Amino acid sequence: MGRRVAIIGFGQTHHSARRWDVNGLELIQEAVVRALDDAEMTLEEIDAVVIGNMDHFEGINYVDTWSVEGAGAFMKPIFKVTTGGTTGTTVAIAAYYHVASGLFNNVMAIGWEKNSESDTTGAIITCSDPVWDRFSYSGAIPSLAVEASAYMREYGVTEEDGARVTVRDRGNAMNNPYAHLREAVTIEDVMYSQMLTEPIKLLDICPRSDGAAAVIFSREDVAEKRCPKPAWIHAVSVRHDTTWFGDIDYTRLTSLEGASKEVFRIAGIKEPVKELDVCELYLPYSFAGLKWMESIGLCGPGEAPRFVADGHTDMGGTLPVNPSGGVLSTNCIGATGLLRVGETALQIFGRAEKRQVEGARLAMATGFGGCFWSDALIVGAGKPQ
Amino acid sequence: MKKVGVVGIAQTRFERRITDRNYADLVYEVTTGALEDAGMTIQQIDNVVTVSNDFLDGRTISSMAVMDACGAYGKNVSTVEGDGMFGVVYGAMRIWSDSFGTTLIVAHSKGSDGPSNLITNAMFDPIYHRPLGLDAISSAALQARAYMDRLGADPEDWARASVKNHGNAKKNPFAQLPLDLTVEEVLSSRPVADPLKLLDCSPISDGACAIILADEENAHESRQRPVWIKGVGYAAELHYLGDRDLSRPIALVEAAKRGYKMAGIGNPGREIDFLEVYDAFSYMEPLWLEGLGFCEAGEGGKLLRDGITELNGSMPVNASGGVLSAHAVLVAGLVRVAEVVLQIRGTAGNHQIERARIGLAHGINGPCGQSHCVVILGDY
Amino acid sequence: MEDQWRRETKPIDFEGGIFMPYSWTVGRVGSRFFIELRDNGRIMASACRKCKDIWVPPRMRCPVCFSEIDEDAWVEIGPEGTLRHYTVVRYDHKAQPIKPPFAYAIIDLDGATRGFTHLVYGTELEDLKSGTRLKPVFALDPQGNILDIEYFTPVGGQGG
Repeated sequence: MGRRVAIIGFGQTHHSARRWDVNGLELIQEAVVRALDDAEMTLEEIDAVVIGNMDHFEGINYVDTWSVEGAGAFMKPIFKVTTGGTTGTTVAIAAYYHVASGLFNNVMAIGWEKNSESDTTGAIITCSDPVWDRFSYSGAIPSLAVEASAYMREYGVTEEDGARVTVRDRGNAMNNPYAHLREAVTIEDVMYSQMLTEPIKLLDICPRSDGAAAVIFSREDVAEKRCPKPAWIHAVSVRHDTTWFGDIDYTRLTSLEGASKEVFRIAGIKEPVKELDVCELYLPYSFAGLKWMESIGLCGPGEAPRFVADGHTDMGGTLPVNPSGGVLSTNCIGATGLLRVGETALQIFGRAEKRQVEGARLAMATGFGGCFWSDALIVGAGKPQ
Repeated sequence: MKKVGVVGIAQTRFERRITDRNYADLVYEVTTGALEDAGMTIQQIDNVVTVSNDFLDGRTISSMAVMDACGAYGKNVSTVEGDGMFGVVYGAMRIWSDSFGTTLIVAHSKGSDGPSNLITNAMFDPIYHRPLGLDAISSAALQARAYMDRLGADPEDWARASVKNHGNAKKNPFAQLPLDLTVEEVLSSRPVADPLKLLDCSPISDGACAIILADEENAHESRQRPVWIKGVGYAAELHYLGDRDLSRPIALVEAAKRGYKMAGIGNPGREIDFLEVYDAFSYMEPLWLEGLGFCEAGEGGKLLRDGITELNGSMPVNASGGVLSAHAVLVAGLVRVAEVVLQIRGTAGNHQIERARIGLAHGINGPCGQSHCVVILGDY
Repeated sequence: MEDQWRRETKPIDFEGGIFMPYSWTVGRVGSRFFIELRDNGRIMASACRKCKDIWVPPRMRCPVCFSEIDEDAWVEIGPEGTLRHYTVVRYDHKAQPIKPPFAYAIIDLDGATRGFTHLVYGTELEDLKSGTRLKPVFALDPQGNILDIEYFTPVGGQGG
């Protein structure tokens, strides 16, 4: 780790199934203006921008240049990073490196998507290899169903166990005025929702949303001067898997295991459940809220269903997960990972209002995407070593 | 800020259509090539930045296709979507942040795989610009005309850039279009979009390029003497063509200012020995030289007329043949860096220039150079 | 690089594509612009009070200073204007709305400070030059998009 970097501002749009009132550029502006307001900063103080989304959801090539007036990047350095579902965390990690490099003082990270503009699954299918895989690949849901089935069979997990994750996250979204889906659901609602791909039902899976997030990363002296409680970046890590879906080990999420291990090592975290105060995890479907808890190392193998059922991950529990309502409540894909990071910062700022975890000082955010790729970040109230 | 240098480079030969290798094969070729050049193993690479574009590859999350090929498994990896120059800047940032010691940057594209006009049409705003059918060529033609209208630029001067660069390409084994041309041949080639003629335009190309960056400590592990990054700068201006004065590349002026400041360069004309600029169209070479501060606005053509930018001139530009002679989109910027490195090492072979201690590489993103990036490299 | 293999083998190309329909949100600001254009044949721009710039198409925020532009800071501009720069396109592709040769132009619509990019057609394209006065030719069946102006053509010229 090099120079210390902290998040000092976070802005997000009011997410919904379709934001008819704004085009893509104006959607981005909404998040950027809110982030500037949150940091009490002017646009002139931002000296670089990094932006991300997924090309085929809006069909815009070179989003960095197209978005200049939306991002407030006129005559500023800007480029685009993109890695599929992990794009939002990729943007955050890139903004961290921007500042840690010493090149910039304040960097705006932007993630956005207008998923209403195209067929989300249709676009995702084209991530598969056109020659070898595309004829048989049918999008994110079936491949997640494969890993869910493997996990359920291994540990005797039930569909109700999965449903509890949806119930928790959707319930938490009631406290988040920005969330897309703000209606609590019950286990029965989940169980009786439409079956999509065994064992995944409609309420087990995330929605697709229109939305944007903007997060301001600043160097140490600026953060200390400008933010009463900066959210310091303690560690970042990225792990990708192999190129082919057939090469993935569906019984484990090795990328999340690897990224989590690395951030815990860098941040000096030995007992994550005890040391972390809150998590914002990229859980795109309910069973991820079980199996991936184990991949991170928050529970032993097969223990997550009990851990969740006992309320440890609820608000007020040992380790609240997704106070924002998570991905199951809001999923504007290029922004989704950045929302996780922004929400953890908000917890550290102590400005999460109704979704605040009291006294949160150390938080974890994750991203998921690509060919079973994972990103992890640790954000804290105390300065990193 | 610690020193970061280039210790390994590799590029494929650029061709109109490569049929015996897909783009993952190309990435594997340049990854292993750059490692060999550096005298390193993939285990010594601690992070990777890939550069790709979903439109060019015809697939969402295009970087997925090259994760195996670039050896990213188990490493911190990320993807820049834009010109390869931005990949270099991000790769260097990751080292400057003290998080990593050795970055592999790899870019690929197969222009021959998809419909180039439709892909560049997609870079325009979908509501106001795209329905008009604008693409890279027609928008560049508007910029060329603006250059004439506002600054009195002469297409005959640009033709000289085409003659010079295609001529230089004859000495570069990786170039796609080595050509013996005359100014008259360029001017009388098929009109494409006035004032641009066919030989004012770069070709569609397939190819890949990789470079390895290292900090001082890790550079010692390499068998190459590092070529150091002395400065980087990048910036973007507005998107809609009508919002811009296309004859004044203000984003390039800003990018250069930042790069020169970081490199401690006060007088680029005197302190920089040679350049590799992104001449996707012939007029771009003089226009970018103006933006880079090598002459006054409107004077770029004179540099070509006076032979200053020739291979044996006092300030050679695009000794490699430039983008006019091989234009694998995204890859082309990375090649500019690789070519500057070859020159500074003194291993550019037939296109080696005499004095090559400080060189400037330049890349662009978006229509008419909406976003510019410069990287200044040197032997100390 | 085209070696023995290439001489002996006809390589296999896999023909495919991405066929993705899009429905781009125009938004509140853009909708007002297109409704004015479609229903009243008027071209509207938005004025940044701080920068004194008149932007077309209209914006929610000034692209330069980022300050909000009120809905009452809109002005009608054009419909005539002056040709700033042009190019005559002599090649075709599927995204072009009309068959070449036609011209693209950056037009300074009367009253705007920033240019408007559109098509020029229905005239001797060779006679175009910077400074030519242009007028819009409106589509007979406007749909509420940028091609409700079919193209621009010289004032007093043919095709108007």
